[in-house]
Amino acid sequence: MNCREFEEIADSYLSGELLVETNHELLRHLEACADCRTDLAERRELRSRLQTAVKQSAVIDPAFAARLRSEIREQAGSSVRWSFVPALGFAGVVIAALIGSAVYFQSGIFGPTQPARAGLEEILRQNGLMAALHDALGNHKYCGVKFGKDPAVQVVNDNEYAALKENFSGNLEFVEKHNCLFNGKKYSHTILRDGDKLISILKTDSALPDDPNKIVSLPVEQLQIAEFESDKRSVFVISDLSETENLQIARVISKNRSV
Amino acid sequence: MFGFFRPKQDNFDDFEQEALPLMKDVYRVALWLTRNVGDAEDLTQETFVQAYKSFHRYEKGTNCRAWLMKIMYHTNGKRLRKLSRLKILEDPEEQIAATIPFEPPIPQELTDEDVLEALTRIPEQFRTVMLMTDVEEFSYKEVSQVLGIPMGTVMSRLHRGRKLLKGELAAYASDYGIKSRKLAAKN
Repeated sequence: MNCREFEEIADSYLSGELLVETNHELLRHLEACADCRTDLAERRELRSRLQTAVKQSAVIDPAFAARLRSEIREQAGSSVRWSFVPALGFAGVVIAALIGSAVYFQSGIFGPTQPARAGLEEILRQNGLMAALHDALGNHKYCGVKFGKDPAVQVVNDNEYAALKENFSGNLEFVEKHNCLFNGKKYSHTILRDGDKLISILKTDSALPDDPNKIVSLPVEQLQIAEFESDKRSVFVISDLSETENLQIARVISKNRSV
Repeated sequence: MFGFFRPKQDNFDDFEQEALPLMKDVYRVALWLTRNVGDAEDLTQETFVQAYKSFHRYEKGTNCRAWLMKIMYHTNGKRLRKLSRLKILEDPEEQIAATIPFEPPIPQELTDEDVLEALTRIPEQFRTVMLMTDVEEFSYKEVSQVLGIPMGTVMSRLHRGRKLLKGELAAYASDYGIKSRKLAAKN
């Protein structure tokens, strides 16, 4: 290595970016060249002076640091962040039906379960639910974006919640409720938790005839979906509970719908 | 796509352990980017709030400081665009490179304030790379990723930045009649 080659790689040497072999070559050159030793010493000194000066000059205000820390802590405590859990595409729902997913019609709120197996697509069409279900289960892109309190959209009310707490076998906890918008349609969205399982209850205006006793249940991969029509609203219960538990929640809400 | 949103597990403890202790480092660079305490605090705050929101994307075990710096540079870019303070220079690196004088030695008697003052006179693109490599000790690769520039550009900016700083310090010393070690030795 000569002085010119040293000059070319001196910066990288200082930054610790050279390969070991090149380092050795450079060191060998330094042993023989006093000028380059001086040059390197000056570069090192400049770097060191710069580092010290900058680090000593910028001292963060402890009050600001404390404020920022507590702001983030508050943010952590008060808000629930959302992550999208993909389930199936709509075509996937149909395929799932074709390969044997079941649709159950429940007659009577607490009556015995009488499953009536049929093609999912056909039943959805018969009940005019396809579009509504598509919307309700849609990717909820804006879910969690609150657009203000809208008294016209009911969330799960106290009566329903109290009934759920009393009648549901699990240990339900309230997580979050909000209004959200999907495909131009408003939903009231209530999230409950049973241990590590989450339950979403979605309500949206519907033109379908009321029939709170008829609960449609769709098992879709890990999700259980139950739906019924009541008070000119479609009510969906979507969870990762078992089908029985998910249905139980739908039944309690159906029974305790406030008029 | 069907799906539903579910609340994410709170990760404040991890964030507190990994990211918050780096606040002073982020602030230090923010101060050089903004040249103003108030703006530096705002930028630091925006950076950490954004970092916390995105913390689920941070890969544990990678360089958290580099990750935070990247967020800060992105945030600062947005801030600058908002303030319409971005000025497009015509190939400033070449212009400056052409005017780099000889390399005088560094005078010993200069204070930290002199060094900082000289640093303010270095064009931002060179100063930033020097701060990232010489002060914050990021690798070329990390600087390249944080700033979104090729590694070759990192190296050339660092080289030119160091030369410029050395020149500034020599000129500064000369103005105040401070003699460098070499000059002093000759006398």
